[in-house]
Amino acid sequence: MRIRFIVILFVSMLLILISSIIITYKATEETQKNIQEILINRALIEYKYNPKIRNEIKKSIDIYLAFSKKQAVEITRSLLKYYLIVVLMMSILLVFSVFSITRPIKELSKRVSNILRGGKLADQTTHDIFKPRGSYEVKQLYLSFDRLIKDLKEYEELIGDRERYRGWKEIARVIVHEINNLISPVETYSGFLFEKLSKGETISNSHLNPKVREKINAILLKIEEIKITLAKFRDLAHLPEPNFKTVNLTTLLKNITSEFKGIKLILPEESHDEEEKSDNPNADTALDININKTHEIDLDVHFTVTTDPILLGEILRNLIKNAVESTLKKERSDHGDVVVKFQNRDNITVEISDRGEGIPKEIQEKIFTPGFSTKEGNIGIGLSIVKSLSEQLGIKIEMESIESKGTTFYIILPHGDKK
Amino acid sequence: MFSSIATTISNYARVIFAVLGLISLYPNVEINNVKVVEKNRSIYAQFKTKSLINEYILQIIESGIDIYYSIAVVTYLVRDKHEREIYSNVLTKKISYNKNNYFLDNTSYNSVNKLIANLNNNQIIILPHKQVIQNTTVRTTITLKIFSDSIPDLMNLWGNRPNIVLNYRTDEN
Repeated sequence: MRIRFIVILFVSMLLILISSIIITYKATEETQKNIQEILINRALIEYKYNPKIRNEIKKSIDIYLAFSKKQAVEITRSLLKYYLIVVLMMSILLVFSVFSITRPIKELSKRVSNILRGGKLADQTTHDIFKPRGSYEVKQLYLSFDRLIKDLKEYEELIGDRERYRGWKEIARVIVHEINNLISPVETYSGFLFEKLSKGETISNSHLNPKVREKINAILLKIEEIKITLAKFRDLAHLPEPNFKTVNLTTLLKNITSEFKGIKLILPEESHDEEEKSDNPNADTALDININKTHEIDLDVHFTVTTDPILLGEILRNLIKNAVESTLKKERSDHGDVVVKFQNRDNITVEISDRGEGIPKEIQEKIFTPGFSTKEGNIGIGLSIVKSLSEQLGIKIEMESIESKGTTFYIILPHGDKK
Repeated sequence: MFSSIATTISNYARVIFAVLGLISLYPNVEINNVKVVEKNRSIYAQFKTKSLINEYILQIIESGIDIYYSIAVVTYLVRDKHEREIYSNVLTKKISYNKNNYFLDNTSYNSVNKLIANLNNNQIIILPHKQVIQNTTVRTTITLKIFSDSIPDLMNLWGNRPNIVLNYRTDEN
């Protein structure tokens, strides 16, 4: 690129030089002609009655005119050195400018190819590696590359997640199918035995013991548990397609939170009374869910979003359930709070905060991975369903967690119609 | 149209080269048909010229200034890489103009073409008494000049400095 620039520059300078020479020469020639005409006219007028002097002047003018080309060339040649100095200075300035423009671009190109090397994006962006420099446009180019690389990284992660999730779904589908095949005969035979023993029939004379009946009953219960677990896996493998419609978010949240036993839905106007109640040591110690609208929002205004209410309900249900479980897990003298809060700024955001034990930093990245759980006896499917559903609905889920202080999930919804 | 563009470009190119000192904007004097002939025991050089009187010189002549055209001959004897001048001569012709007539010395021409035709045919002795120098290598330089009493640098109106160098050997009788 630099060589091309320099060649163009050289040709341009040469053209400027040639133009300058021709312009100077032509200008000199024109001046000479004008001088000749002026002198002849003046001689004709001044020495009208003195032909001898008039002829002498004419001779001088003719000599001058005959040598005019030579003089024009000499004048142009004498100016040529100045043109050369100017052109040289311009060339130096332009070469310097070209280098100052191309150097950061070249460096950027090198850095970007380093970042993209191996077909995988590095963790660092250009901005992280070195400060943008050069002209405003070049700086903007740097920043655009940064944005591009960040976007690419996000897409890469998203595609990776989707691929992983698709893999998990397939595994879940196969496992569910295979285990169902295996437990179906076990359930059938256990049921058969249970019915026979309940009616007092014996397999053999020595098997009338009620303990046997008890064990078979336990087998049947465990089979039921396995079926429930399998159903969850089936949910993961067969998530329905979203059916988008206008949803009243306030109503939806009220309905979802009401599903949790012992939870009181507290609207902002009731919060003052509730605070007083909390100060009372004899106050109800049940787990509270406070629905707090930020003060910018009119209480009478209902927020609507365009989404699938069933799938969004599933997301909220899973996150609130996790928050409740997290607060119950923590041993505290007072009860933990789960706060569900609206925000309507750039986006409609639902915050679900708990004052539980929080999630350690080292495992925060893994919480959405299917099968990952910190809870004993949990199969770790809930948050992976949340993530999958949120991707389907175009909802962004963000999380902040401080160990031993609690966790907040932000459900960032796209705007719907505001009524 | 294309020819006028080509002429303009050619003129601009000539200006560029002239400014760079590579050519002159005035026409070159051409010398051709150079012959060395023997007449009356003398050796003559015959040659034709072109553009001796160009439009700029003609302008000066027509303004009434007398100019002179000279042919300077110097002949050297070349022996063992040493040169010795054996003959020199300058033939000068006066060119003038008066009342629509052109004059070459005292000869009058009523048109410039006749004057130029006469000037273009040149013959000059380069070695008289040829018999004195026999079987010897000789070198002759012929230099053309144009000058005027009132214009010192008239030669600048020629694009070149025309000259002829003749190397020849005299025969044995």
